[in-house]
Amino acid sequence: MKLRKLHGLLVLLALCACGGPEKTALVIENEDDISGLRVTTLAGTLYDIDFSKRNDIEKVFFKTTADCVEAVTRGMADVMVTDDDIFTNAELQHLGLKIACLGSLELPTAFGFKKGNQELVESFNAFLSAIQEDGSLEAMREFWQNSDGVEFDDIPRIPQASDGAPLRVGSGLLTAPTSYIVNDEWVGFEVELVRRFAYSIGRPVEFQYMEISSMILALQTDEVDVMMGSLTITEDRKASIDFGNPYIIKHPAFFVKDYTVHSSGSSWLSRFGDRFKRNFIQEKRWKYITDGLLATLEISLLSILLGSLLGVLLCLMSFSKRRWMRDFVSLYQLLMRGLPMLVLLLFMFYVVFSGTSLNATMVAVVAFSINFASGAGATFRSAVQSIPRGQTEAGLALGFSRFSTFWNIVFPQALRKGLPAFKGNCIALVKGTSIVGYIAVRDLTRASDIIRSRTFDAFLPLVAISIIYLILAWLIGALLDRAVKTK
Amino acid sequence: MFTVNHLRKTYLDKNGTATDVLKDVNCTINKGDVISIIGPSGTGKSTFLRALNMLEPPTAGEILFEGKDITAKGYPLPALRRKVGMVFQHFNLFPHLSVIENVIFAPVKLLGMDEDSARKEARSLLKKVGLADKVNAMPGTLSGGQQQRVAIARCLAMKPEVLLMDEPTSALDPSNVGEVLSVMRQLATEKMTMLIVTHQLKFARDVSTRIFFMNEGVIYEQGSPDEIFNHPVHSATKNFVLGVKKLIFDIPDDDFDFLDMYSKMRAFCTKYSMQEKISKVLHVAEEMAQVALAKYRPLRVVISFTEMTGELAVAFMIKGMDTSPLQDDDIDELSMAVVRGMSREVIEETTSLGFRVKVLI
Repeated sequence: MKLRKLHGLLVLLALCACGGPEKTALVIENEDDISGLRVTTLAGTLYDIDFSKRNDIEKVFFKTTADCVEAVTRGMADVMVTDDDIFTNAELQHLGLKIACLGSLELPTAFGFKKGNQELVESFNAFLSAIQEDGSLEAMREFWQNSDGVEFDDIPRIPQASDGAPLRVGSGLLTAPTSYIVNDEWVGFEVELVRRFAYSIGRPVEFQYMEISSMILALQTDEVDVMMGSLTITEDRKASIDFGNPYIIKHPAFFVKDYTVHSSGSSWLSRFGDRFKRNFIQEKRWKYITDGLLATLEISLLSILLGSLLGVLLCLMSFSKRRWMRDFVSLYQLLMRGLPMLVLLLFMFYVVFSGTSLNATMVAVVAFSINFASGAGATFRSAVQSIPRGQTEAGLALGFSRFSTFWNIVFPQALRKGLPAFKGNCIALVKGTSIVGYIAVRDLTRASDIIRSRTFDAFLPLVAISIIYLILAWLIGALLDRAVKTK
Repeated sequence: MFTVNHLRKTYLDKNGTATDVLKDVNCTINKGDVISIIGPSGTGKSTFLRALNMLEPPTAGEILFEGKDITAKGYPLPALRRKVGMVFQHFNLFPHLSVIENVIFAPVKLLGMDEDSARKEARSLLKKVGLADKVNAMPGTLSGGQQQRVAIARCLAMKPEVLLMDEPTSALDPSNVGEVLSVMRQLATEKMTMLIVTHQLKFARDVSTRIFFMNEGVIYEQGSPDEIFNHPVHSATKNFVLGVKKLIFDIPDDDFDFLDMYSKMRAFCTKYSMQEKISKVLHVAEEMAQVALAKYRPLRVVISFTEMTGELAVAFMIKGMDTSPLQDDDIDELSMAVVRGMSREVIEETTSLGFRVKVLI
């Protein structure tokens, strides 16, 4: 009996090892051949707009190139459409993708500027024609197209102006060789271009990653001055932003899975080791995780602290004799309960604090604090209410003042009663901070995005940050338990 | 120590109707008094007691303590309450603190005692109330009687001038009442000034220097235990101290629901553990109300039970009559024979309202 089971297991293993019947790559010769296929592309790009009109394809759109690549290699989509220049040849090989064909479309690519910022657009155009004429633009392209294997130290360093208002650049792309991050430094073709331009007009430069859709808003609200990321000039976009002259003409390319490149016969363990190295060790990528962890911790702890103080205030107000104070608390809590946290965060960043010097991390702290206060206030209130009236009476009858009865007798008991719910509030907050990437804060979740954008491996970075979030949640619970026990 | 003048407390319910819990309370409390406040429930005993330390601020009137009106705005209540201890029905110990921490909490925080001497004192207080071995226990692990004794020790730790006790034994198991009463008895012999709201009439009679009988929102009658228990002036006082419980039925005519009356009488007897007398009560009630006195309508029937004496009686009252209906010529002799056979005594008497035939069973 046992033997037969073992036999069956062996057959199963053998089947797995063979990997089933041989597959061959899809053949696509032009735009019409993708009819009936599952097509993936970056949301918010020209292809998104273009394909949205087609009903003969199944659309699987994502926000990062890494996600699109993942979709094709994992078989969730058949073909990925994006610009022809975003991968180097070595990268394609590594990812197991190949270009099936190029599209016929010509795509002029340029930088975006705030509408009406004529001065900046003109100075850029002048700069561009100068480097086109002397051939340095072409040389730059050449360099980046073949940048595989180039050591970090060999990347050309562009001098930076030391003073003047910084040129704030938003990039919608984190993909080599166009625009990406190595060793915490922005590099790539577009990055070099914009660095050279900034130097030519005597301004230092600052980069931040943003999704294309939120970047247009950032441009309009003066959060950034220049927008880049393989932007194609379209009529729609021209309506809301101004473009400089194109510095490159691209074509769409159709990427499909290449079955001929397969992982070599190395063991599962050593393959895992390779992946681990690629995701966390190479280019010191673990640093994104530790920096992200610090940002997540900073936002979480500050928000819990400020939010709790505000929550105590709300709790006291909700017990007030003055009707308007109680009404204010109800309205506040109604608002906070009803508003999605992401909406509140974006509102704070783009409306309330836009144009102020408060940095994005602090905006996040403010937004999470006022949201946390609402829940914490309600938790405190119900904890205080759960302490019987007799406790207050006993305190008063012994000769304690009203405040000192609350502080010495009711509050310590309420603290114990409210702890489980408060712990829940805190843990929800820590997990909730994973959306701060939307306002360009590099937290733990964004760290995994950045790593993913370079390694195109979704699994390991996500598993890593999942484990870290789990540990954080446990740690906060344990710390709170301890703090209350010693009180 | 306390002088109370024209104290009134009015509650407004949700519909805005006002109820006077205290109507007009006047009294003087002197040092060394042990005063038991007795009376039916809902007559404002606890409200009055809680007004004395302003946990229940009165609506009108004044309470003078050391010559000053404590109901006045700006009176320093915490200072008053440090001198006026209160023991609650439900103990209200601090559940997150151990027994000894409960006792030293207020002296350390409010009187500025250093913790060592506070602990020493607390130990001797706990020994006094018989809880020397429970010093480090948590309140939740103690019986009700033990908790109440801790609460008394907690009060005494503040060295109060007077102790207010709000039904200190009402929430206890009957088996726990004795231990708390004996602590209170001891305090009384030490000349502690105390006001005790209680239903323990025997305790009140033995220990108090004065008794307040409260009824209908006023101090209805007050005096020494001998005056109140043995020679009460008012019939309400008498009924209360004797523990008279009654149920009244008015029979307007023969359409009256007699069966309902009998079943209520049956329940009444059961309630006061007089089951063995049910059949006698029902026979007497039926023979009298439906046969012997059938022609007298309206007729009032009162069944009463006196706790002090264990006396059970059914009385029949005919309004405006001054001669005994039993002397009538056409009285049903057979019926009356049954009634006399079932009873210990039949009392015929005139009252201010009319003529009453009281049958003791």
